[in-house]
Amino acid sequence: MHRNRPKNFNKFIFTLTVQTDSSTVETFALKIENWNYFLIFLNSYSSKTREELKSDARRLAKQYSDSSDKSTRGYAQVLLKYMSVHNIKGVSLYKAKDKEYQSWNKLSLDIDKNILTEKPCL
Amino acid sequence: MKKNIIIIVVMLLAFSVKSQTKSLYEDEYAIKDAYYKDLYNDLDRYIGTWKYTSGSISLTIILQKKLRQHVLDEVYDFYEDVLVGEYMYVENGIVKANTLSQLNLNLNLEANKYNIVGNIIAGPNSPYCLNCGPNDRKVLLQFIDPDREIPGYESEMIFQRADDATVEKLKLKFRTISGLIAEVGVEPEFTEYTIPFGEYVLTKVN
Repeated sequence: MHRNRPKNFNKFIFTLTVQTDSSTVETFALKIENWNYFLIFLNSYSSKTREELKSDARRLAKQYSDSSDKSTRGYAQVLLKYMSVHNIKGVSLYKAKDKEYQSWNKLSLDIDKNILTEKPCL
Repeated sequence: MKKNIIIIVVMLLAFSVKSQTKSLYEDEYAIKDAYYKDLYNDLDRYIGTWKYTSGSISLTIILQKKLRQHVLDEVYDFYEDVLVGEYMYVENGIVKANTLSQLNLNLNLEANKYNIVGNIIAGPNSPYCLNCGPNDRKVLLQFIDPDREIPGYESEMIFQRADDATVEKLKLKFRTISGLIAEVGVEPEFTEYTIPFGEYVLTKVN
């Protein structure tokens, strides 16, 4: 019945839950905020060469290994920096504040100062 | 005899399950426990001490091949052969940058700590190697300037052998693959690394 109705991709989220130690679990979500911007990223990603994709993967690996902050926060910082440098727009990163996923913080990076900030979603 | 053969086969099988050897030409990267090996010894052609001289400028790059480097951290767990390198850049007799001593450090398990590192090989079918002959290869390495972090820049060194009849040479294309990120109204501290972007032809000296 709804097969031909256009999909609202802004309502899609991708969640990832990680166990950071024996008693701590953290949940992150990637949400498409702007489908048009995200589509530009998808098109540009799919046209990348094998060398470019491997180069990107190597750079991320190096940045992860060079990061002094090995917490999920440090990894989020590396990811957001990568997204900023590669002009990946239209998708945002969130972190759950509670186990019921009722409350979230939006993570963003001040690229000039390389500082990760968390702002509560209203 | 039969028992010995069975033992050898079991040992080989156990090893192949633990560590799967793959070529550096594989599209994928960083599969757990895989060993990305330089099966065709493509990286060997770049090993050595290479020097560029023009007027009062000289650039020396030493490249070494590291075998079976274990990349192991919270995210990755695999092995790879890589080229690593360090450099010295001199202008008007003044050493502007010299990281060559880094090669003496024992970074055997931390190849990513070298200022030049990588193992991406581009062959004739690659957009990186459009005018390449069937046996030509280029190798793409990451570059880090330890004295300058320029927001937004991700630099790349592309090396290609360019020998003439008597001299071993290496062509280097040094560039950034992403743009500068600067605060509006604020002059960035640096727009280039200590080694200027551009093309260099280096000669093998050792």
